[in-house]
Amino acid sequence: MQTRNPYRTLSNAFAALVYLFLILPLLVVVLFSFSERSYFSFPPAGFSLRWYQAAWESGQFLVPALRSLWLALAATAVAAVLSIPAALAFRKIAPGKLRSALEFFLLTPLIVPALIIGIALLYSFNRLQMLDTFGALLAAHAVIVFPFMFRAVLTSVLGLRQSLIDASEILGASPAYTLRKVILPALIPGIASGAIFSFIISLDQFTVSLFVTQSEQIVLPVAIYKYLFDVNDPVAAAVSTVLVVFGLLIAFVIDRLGWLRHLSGASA
Amino acid sequence: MSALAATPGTPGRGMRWLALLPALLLVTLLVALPLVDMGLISFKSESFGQIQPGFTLANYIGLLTGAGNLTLFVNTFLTAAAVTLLSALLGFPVAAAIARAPEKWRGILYFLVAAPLLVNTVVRSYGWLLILGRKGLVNEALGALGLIDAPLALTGNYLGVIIGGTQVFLPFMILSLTTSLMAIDRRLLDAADILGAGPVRAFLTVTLPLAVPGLIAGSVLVFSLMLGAFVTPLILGGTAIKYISVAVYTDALVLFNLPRATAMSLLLMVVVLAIYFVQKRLTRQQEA
Repeated sequence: MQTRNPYRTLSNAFAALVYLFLILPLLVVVLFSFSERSYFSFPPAGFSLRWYQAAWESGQFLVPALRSLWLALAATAVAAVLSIPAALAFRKIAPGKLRSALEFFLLTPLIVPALIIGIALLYSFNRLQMLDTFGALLAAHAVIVFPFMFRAVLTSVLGLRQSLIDASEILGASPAYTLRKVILPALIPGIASGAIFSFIISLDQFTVSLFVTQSEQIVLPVAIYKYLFDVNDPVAAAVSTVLVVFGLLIAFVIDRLGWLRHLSGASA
Repeated sequence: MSALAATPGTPGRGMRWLALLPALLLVTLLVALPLVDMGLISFKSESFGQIQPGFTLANYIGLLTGAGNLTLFVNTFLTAAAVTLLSALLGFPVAAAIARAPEKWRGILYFLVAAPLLVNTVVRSYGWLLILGRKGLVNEALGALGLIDAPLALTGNYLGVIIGGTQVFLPFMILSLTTSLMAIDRRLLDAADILGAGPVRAFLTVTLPLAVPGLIAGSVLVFSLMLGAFVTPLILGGTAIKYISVAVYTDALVLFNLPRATAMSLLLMVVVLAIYFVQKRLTRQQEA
């Protein structure tokens, strides 16, 4: 099919090494979590599940983990409830300076680095005496994930076919009925894709969570970070392995749904 | 809310703004106003953790003229530039492999690039700590081979941050390059081949120029993400390095020098926003 090309072989071999580079840190964490020793050794010594047991029994991770999950769900829901009407309103604003400015404004939580939002919120929540409360955490996460949800829903909204809406109206449907039976069903894929990305962005969010919490309301990534610098035994690796598996599972689901390509604009 | 769905002509102007209001409020209350507030603090002075009345430019003057602070900005930019360059060099062969892979392999190759993005950044940086630490994988391996006597310092410095940062942001570069490379018309490469261009010449005159848009988009994205990155510099560099994000964190939460931290944040934000607008303009030109 193709002529033998030594450069191509070389390039492919190099690409294989880059794949190893991408996967290696995840692999090392997983291997370390099953280690029998409390320090790192290679090749891994023995096989043990005691770090998983220790992580479970320590009680330092379970509550933050549940809080992280609940927080991600709640922030995603808030973002969805705000995004849907906003995106529908965008349909009625002609493309131009105003729409670009509005879009830029609504996407600022994505454009401004999380660190800067974190420090701004630290100062504001501190003055409102809201630091280290779940309310502050939820507000912060809702605004961080909002752009991801909004962008996904907006793409669906702008792809809506006017002819369907016209048909519904001509056939005598009320605007409310059209919204419920024609418009919202057409937005489901956008909302679902926005939700899954919002959820994962919230779970990954470390920086803003670190700034707006102290000890009462810490989330899972912050708990792992604190543990790393206090103890640093494979318990951190055991908890991290759970997150690796969880992340890969979500990646698998997103891949099946054909949404992996949407990742290219996500923020880390 | 239902009037949103109304056909053009029905009164919807007021409803339109009503529908936008909650979202606008969210961003105003939680991003815009806190940023303005933060901007005001950056013009104040502090003493023993207390904000003093009156306005001053001292924080900015100090940041922009102090020799130590200049290194802070220069080192941050150089680190981000190094991560961007490494991402381009490592990313190109991977993107090329994905672009020319047979259909059935392309999916899995793409998946393996994108999947690490969905694993928590703290966890990925921790993995690098295990690889690069004093008793980490690399030092153990080199020690066992008798190549080194004392462990190499691979974390707590810029090297660790650059390695970790590259792994964290490389997928964005690869995804961006892949998009460009997949769009290349294969007939151009065939034509180059028929006209007698060798693989190197074909790469330099066909593939590379056509990959430039993806390369630029990926570089801008990786560079600005790395400039604002906090997790990887904190875990793999720590306070031993001069990095804007880590310095902001130290100033705000350890030294309680909020005016300096906010001034530094705003300078960083101006740079990131400038990059964003330049990139917007570039993509618009490409589309036009």
